[in-house]
Amino acid sequence: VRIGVAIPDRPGMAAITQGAELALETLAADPRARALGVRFALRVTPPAVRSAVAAAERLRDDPAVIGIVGDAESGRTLDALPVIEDAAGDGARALVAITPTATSPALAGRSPWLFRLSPGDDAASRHVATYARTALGARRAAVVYRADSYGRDWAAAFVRAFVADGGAVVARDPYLRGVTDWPIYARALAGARPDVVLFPGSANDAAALLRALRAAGVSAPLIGGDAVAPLADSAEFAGARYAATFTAEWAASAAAPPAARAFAARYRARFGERPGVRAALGYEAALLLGQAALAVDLGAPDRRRRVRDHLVALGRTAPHADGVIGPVAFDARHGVAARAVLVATVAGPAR
Amino acid sequence: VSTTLPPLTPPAASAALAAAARAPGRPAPHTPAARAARAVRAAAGVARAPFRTVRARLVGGFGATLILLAAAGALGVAALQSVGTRAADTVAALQSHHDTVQQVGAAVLREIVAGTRAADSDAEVDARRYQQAMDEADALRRDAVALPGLADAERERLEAVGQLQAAVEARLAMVRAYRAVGRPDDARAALARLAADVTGSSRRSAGCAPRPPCAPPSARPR
Repeated sequence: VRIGVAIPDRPGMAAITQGAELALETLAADPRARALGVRFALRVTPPAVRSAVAAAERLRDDPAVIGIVGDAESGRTLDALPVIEDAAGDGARALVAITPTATSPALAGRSPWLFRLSPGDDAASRHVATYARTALGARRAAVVYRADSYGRDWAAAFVRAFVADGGAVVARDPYLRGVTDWPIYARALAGARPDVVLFPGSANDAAALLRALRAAGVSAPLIGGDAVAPLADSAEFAGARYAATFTAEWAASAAAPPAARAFAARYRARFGERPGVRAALGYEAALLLGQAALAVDLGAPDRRRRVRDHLVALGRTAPHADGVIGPVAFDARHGVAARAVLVATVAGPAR
Repeated sequence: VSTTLPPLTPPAASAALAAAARAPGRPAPHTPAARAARAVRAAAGVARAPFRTVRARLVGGFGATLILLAAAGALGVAALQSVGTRAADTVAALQSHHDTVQQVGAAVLREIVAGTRAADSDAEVDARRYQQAMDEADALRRDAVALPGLADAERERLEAVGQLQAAVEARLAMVRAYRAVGRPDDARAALARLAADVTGSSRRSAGCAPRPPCAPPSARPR
């Protein structure tokens, strides 16, 4: 039985695959898998396949693939969704996709085959807007967002919440790697005098912007989504903040459930690095797919549909699944139910 | 397998054929017994069995054939109507797809126009219009992607349109940033690169190459 992994070839995304690899080890030790003689393997789309649509086609057309971990980004997920649900073939080859990190509100209830493990941008950006207004006392916000569905939706939801809370948005600009000149952006932002810079984008780009902002004399804190969590690996970015459902520090704290602590320890031992939210949710997604596969008749011609029905039943007609962050059940629009959003600050001398 | 039958004389053959044609237990039609039976039935007012005569059988057979032909014709007409309806639905769906995809292209063009104006203006209303145009183009593209009847190749092309849109928006943001920091020459140069991007993308679209036009592949977000 194969579990597909569809992620973009972007820095930090490999953590999702690593989390899925760890889940395979957990599944291999599952007594049900041994009793049934089921062995799991990952099918990861090669980096050369840049198109999310093409990646989804490959996984969908492989009959051994029972479900997909991915896609990791909202825009790519939206593009690939009709392929995943086999819209052209009346759903005959449709398969489940559990996206670990895609958060666009446009994904909610979009397809019966898509499940989401991260809270939507609406929830995350509302938390961040409240945090910026209350904890940071920010009144003027600048938003620099990645020019794709994730960045657009996150920015739009934040702007709505921040303005409704009495704040003002003094800049709202998209960026694209290879086009955006960060020093120029930073100088333009300095002129706007923001109290906080919102950054729904990638970690590498956040690092480039942070350096440019500091060079331009902008000391306003930067807050990103979970995609910028890898900044926490470097003290250079101390003071930067990010919103996520999982951090290594939280997993090590007493507030975290035992499953989170155990996962963090195993991940660190296996890969020699701290697990971030991508690793944790990649693990959860692959584990859910594997456990669903073990619960259904894998010889049935409609096994992919049965896997989907198994996931739908979690927390309703069947007990919830045990995830890394907490119990996993999906609401009517296939979003994960009841997950808190943390705002983490990169350790070091705060700026 | 071959079977050898004994030879029959002509009178014997006629009798055998007549016997084979008769229903078992019935008298031969032209025998005195048969004539007597008919007379008895006629006297008693008993109705004749249907299709007993050749004429009745011919009428019945042709009647049944006509009924079957009429039924087949009716079914054929119904099937043709159904095919016609389905064809009309397919044409309507294709028209809808075509319209939606056309609308995406038109929306991206409107976005470029509004963005160019906003980049050259400090008016709040221009910025607002540009934002609306961006949102509209993005929403239309998402709607187009969600259309059920698109081929995978068409989806890849719509994906490429999204990448073009991203490139346009990022370039226009650079134009504004250059203006904000007092570098109008760089702003003009960025605007020229934007025009080249759009032109290049149109040419590539004509050649069906789903590639975004902006950054080199290594630098493009994936």
